[in-house]
Amino acid sequence: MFSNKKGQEMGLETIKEIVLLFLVAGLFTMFLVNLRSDTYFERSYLARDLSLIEQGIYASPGKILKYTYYPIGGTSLKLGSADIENEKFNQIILSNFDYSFDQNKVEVKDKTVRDNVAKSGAKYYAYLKKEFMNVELKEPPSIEFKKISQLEILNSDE
Amino acid sequence: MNKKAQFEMEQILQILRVMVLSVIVLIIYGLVSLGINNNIEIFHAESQLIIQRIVYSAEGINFYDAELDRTFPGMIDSTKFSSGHLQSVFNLPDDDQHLAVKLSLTIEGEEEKLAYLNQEWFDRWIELTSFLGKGGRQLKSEIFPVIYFDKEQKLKKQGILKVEVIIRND
Repeated sequence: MFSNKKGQEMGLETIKEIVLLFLVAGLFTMFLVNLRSDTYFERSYLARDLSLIEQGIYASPGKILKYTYYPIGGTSLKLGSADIENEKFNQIILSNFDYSFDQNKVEVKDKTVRDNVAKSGAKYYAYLKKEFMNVELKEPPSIEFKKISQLEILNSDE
Repeated sequence: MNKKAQFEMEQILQILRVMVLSVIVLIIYGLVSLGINNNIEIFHAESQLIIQRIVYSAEGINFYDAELDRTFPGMIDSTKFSSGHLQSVFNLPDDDQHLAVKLSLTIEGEEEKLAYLNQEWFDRWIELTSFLGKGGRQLKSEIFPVIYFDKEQKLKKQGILKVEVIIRND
């Protein structure tokens, strides 16, 4: 292919660089494919949103009889006997994840990677009261919040 | 140019090639990352809720009448205006480095009253509130005209409450 030694060396260098560029391109493609299937954004969104709901419930001066949280299909707020429905489409499905609520953090875990601790959870701060008991919810279709004497968080299926 | 000098020149060229290639890779990475945003900004909502929790909730610093089961927004209970009470409201862990709050109450003719949540970190973070990105902090500050209900003297005094909330950028 190359007539002299210098030409051969130059050709090898170019081939090395082309291989390296393909390697980099391959790594980027893998990164993007992983990113597409990763649920970090959803987990992070849910952890923050649930934390804000808890804070909002604590910030309210009165009692909350029932607040049902489900980002897909809308939300409903029960005030006394009246139901206020707010139908809003959202692509995040609550039952795709597991949830744990402790006194200071909300954690949303991807149930498909339960064993991979680093990849499974996204946490956010909560600052709940000392009386609050830790709650674990597995694949809930929706989550119910109540505040009468203290905050309660329930799986709506149970 | 002798053989040794030629060899050294080639080495320098190799290093330059690697450097140029690295710059190209970094540029591609930067361009790809530009289109990906995993950051969810909730500072304004979160800080507002923390302020509301302190100022309006039954557990906050306002006066709560247990007999009527009613909170009086804007009326501060003198027994609740303390760092200890704020700590019990938020149940902040000892190693918390996310949230810090300062309350300053000014009443005419009296010394300014102060209460903190995470005082040590508040004093340190106030210097960092102009820094953007991870490691930086954001500050939200609100002022409320209030009535200070001194339970010991059974007196109500008018005052101005300033609430400053600092939250870490995540």
